[in-house]
Amino acid sequence: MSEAATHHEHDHHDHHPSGITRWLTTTNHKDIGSMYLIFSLIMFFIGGAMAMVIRAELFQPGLQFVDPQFFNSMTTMHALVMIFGAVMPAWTGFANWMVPLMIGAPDMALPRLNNWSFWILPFAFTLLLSTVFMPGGGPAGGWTMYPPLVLQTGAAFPFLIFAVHFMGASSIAGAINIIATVFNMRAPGMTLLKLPLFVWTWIITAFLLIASIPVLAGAVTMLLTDKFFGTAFFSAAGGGDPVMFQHIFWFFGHPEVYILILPAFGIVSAIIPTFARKPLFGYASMVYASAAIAFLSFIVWAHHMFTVGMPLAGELFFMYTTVLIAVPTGVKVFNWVATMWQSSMTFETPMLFAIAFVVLFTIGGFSGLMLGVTPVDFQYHDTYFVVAHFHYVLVTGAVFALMAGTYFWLPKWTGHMYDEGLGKLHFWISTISVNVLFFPQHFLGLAGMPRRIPDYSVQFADFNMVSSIGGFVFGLSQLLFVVVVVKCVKGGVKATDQVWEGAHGLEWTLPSPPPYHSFNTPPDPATIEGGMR
Amino acid sequence: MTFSKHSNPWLKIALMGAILGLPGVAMAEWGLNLPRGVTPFSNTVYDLHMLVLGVCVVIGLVVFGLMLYSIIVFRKSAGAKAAQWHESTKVEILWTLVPFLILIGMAVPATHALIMMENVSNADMTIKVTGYQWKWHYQYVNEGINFYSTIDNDSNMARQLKSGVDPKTVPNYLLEVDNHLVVPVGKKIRFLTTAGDVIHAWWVPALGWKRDAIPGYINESWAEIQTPGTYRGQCAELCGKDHGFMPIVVDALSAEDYAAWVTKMKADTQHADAGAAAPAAAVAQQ
Amino acid sequence: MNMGSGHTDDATRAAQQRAATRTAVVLAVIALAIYGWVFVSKL
Repeated sequence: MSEAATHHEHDHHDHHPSGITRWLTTTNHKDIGSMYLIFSLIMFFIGGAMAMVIRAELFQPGLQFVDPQFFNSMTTMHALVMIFGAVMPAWTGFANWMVPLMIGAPDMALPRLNNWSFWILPFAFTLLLSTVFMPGGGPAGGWTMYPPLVLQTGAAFPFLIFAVHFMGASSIAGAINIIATVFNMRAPGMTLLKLPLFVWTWIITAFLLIASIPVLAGAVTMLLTDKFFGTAFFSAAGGGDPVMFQHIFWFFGHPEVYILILPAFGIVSAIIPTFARKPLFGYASMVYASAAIAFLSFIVWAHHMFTVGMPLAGELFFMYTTVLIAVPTGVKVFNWVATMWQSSMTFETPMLFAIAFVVLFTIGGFSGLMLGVTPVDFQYHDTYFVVAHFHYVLVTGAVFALMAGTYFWLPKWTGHMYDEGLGKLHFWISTISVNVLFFPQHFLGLAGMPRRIPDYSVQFADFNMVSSIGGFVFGLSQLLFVVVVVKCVKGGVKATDQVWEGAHGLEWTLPSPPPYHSFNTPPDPATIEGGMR
Repeated sequence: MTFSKHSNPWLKIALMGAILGLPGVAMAEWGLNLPRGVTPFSNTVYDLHMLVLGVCVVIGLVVFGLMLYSIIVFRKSAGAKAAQWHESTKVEILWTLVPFLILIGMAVPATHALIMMENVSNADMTIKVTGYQWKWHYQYVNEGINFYSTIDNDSNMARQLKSGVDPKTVPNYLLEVDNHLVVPVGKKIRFLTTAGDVIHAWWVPALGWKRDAIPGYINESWAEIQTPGTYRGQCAELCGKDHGFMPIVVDALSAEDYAAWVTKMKADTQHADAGAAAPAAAVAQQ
Repeated sequence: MNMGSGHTDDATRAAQQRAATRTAVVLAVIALAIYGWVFVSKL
């Protein structure tokens, strides 16, 4: 390799527009990744503010702050914002930043599509969030949008539907980009079974998105035509079927929850081996287990509808397939524990969040297993037991993995080490408060408290108060996270290329931060061979 | 919390076990658990719930115990050196097969319970339950009794935004209605649930089940209440702004008391019909 | 830094780009087909 060639590379690509134009027109995966992550963080606080309204009203029995209609719009919007505005864009942000680096590619396969995929989102969420200020208020029929109730939504209705269409389009485009990139742009020597698990879990997630989001789009289009164009897909009076919406929605909805968690599995599978200084146990079975979970996710959907009045055969089928998912999920948990066994661990912030993920996600998995047992689900369904379950898997699951991944890769992205003391403080306050917030909700559900109610009878008061206190502390403590991130972006101890003693992977062969354009020349296959475990 | 190199890891594991075991004790004694309920099905469901919960607790103790041990013993600061082994087909097969067998062990009783619930045949009476925004309607199909059941006025006044009324001063706050659903004990009651506008769900935890009330559908469920008493429940499917304010109250009476109630309700209905008919007849004769 | 066995040449890059575009088009068609099928099967 000649000096001249190297110089040519450096000169050719290092100028790019600055200011607003840069961010509006960028096709660079690092820029777009950063935009997704910042957008996601903002949405996380907006969704979090809505949660604070919910927990403030539920702090005591009686209605103190908001009327029931507004409360219902808060629960509806909280979910839509968190799922489609915070978690999914965050995973896409991580994918954008890390997938090209991990496979030794210079960028994503379709950079302009990448730019559009991002910019659709602020537009879609402006549409959605503006409904809160419209006559009739924001949508209040739950994020699940069941008809006939959702058709009683006022002026907000078309905005809700179009926002969902746009968010869906963004996700599909992102998924297509990821598959096209991983299948076609891997560096020589980077075979599929050498890929880091984060790339594998994102490939699988991308296929789930392509198969399920169009189904959601179909379902909400049918809601739109039922409301405005005289169809009766879901109206019994018109010869249609309200339950059919639930089948179509949950055919999307169940793969959706695996879309929310699979990349988390990939992150934890990168972090634990790093800080344990030991290879991931059972790489191949981790890949197969992820694929098995994805496959099974298509044949369990009606466990969200066990009380709808399905025939016995249907109820039995969905019970069996649902509890079966525990098997590959269990394999993953056991493999993480086996990675920790006879290892040499240190407990920096990413490792703390990753370990907390394994414990707390497993607790969420246990309540999920209980929910899958149909006859008992007749008691749990639509109660706070369900709310506890999905918050354990989504908050102490997906969100904790997002935090873990952020702490893990912040030094790579910014070139500075984050403040470890603040990071640990954020971890401990978050972990304790999140359990104070959500664990009592199991008891509330078992004791008989339904979900989606703004007020409750007096026997539920104590646990609601405890839960709300946990919520306020958890919400406030996320400001610490912002402090850590902003402080790290601005400066800190210079980060080395490898950053963490046990780190392995192509991203750790690049400088911290990596150049604006990296891997224009693919990495040496020998590096891949030596560094992959 | 730091552990010195010389402290005993087993002591800490025992302590952790005790702490983790506490919720189990608490649940049984402090009313934090699912209620047993008053029907054969509700008791079956309770037993199944405890079985699955028990399995989860045991697996949790094992897995979290191993993790805790690892954190204490296999740490760099304690001088641990990392092994490099990273696969074992034998072990993978074991921890795939054993959970699968445990699941079958749970699926068998669960299947029996579900078949029991779906067997609506040979009912002694039928009640049609219709959900509306935001009240219930009950129709005793063979007795010709029907009425609406709406949240009790005291609760309804107290729950208004900034009402100033302390909920603790309202008896059965949010769980009282004007007209209770009265049923006999010891009889198999078939419930038909439907709705008149949006989807609702009828749920009385003491009976052991809930069922969606869907416009255009009629769902069947059954209950045989074994103990006389008053059992309260709520709507369990988001149905609009007052979803949280359409409760259910069931009075289960002895056979004699129920018969007396039926007689009285029928008489009241006849008086009401006669009262309505008389002026109409008078008008017709003019 | 980028210790490659050689700079990716333009021909390879163009071939990768074409292959990636093909993948993308196939997946987009599949997504649209699923969307359409949801209606057609319910009419």
